[in-house]
Amino acid sequence: MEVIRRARATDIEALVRLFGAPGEPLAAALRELMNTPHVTLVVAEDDNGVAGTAQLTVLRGLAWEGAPRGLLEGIRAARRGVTSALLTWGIDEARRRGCTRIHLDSGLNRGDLRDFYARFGFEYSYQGFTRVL
Amino acid sequence: MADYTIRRARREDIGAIVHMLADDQLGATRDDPSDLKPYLRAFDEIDADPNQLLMVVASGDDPVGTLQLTIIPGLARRGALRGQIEAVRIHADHRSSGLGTDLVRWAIDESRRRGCGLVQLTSDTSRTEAYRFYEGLGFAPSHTGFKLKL
Repeated sequence: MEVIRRARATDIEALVRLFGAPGEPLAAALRELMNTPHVTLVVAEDDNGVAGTAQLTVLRGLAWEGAPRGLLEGIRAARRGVTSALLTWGIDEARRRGCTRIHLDSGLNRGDLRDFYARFGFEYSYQGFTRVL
Repeated sequence: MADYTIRRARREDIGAIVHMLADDQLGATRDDPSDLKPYLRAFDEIDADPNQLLMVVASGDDPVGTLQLTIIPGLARRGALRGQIEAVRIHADHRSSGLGTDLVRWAIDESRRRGCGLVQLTSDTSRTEAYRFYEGLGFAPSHTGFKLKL
């Protein structure tokens, strides 16, 4: 059973493993994340250590009467069960912070993922666009 | 030819911005400019955060377009900062004059200036003409989004 807790600077090794990215830029990003008030970075820990991570960003906008919205992203997990625990955490935390809706970004729109997210109540709703700078 | 300027939104612009949000196929059902109190509360919070920029394009001093840019750190893509563009609206009387393009270009430049590795935005799956607009500005479809109402 996983325990979800806030990420710490000492989690960097596990995060490097989960993201498969070099340590130095990731350590700088981790410091930035820990210092950004609207961002909560968590890790899921089981008996063998860190098995997953997720980022919840609470965004404020004027639309929807100015209600905050949660953006759940950067999910990396060793197993589907860990992803489930992170999704459940993200939904609960967004609700606790007064968000009226939560968005989940996924690189993929595979049918099996759609079904998986649907179990948590998520519906396919938008197309994401990116421009690399 | 009207004189347009892009500037940060001010408190007195909020009524005009909410009108633009409500005058929209999706916003019409969820936004109501008759009571600005909740919007002003949200504006004060956005305005106090250096990583959130609520912008307007103004004709003279009147807002005729709006966009929000939020700078978000993250671990993906080697820990790149991202610029997130949201709530792009142009007043019905000023559409097709390139203002949307100017606003989005401004957000791309600002994101670059702040060291972002990418700019991202999302568009509701029902807004098909928006897809062409963003692709014309160099955006590529990259991910899908899921939503849950809480």
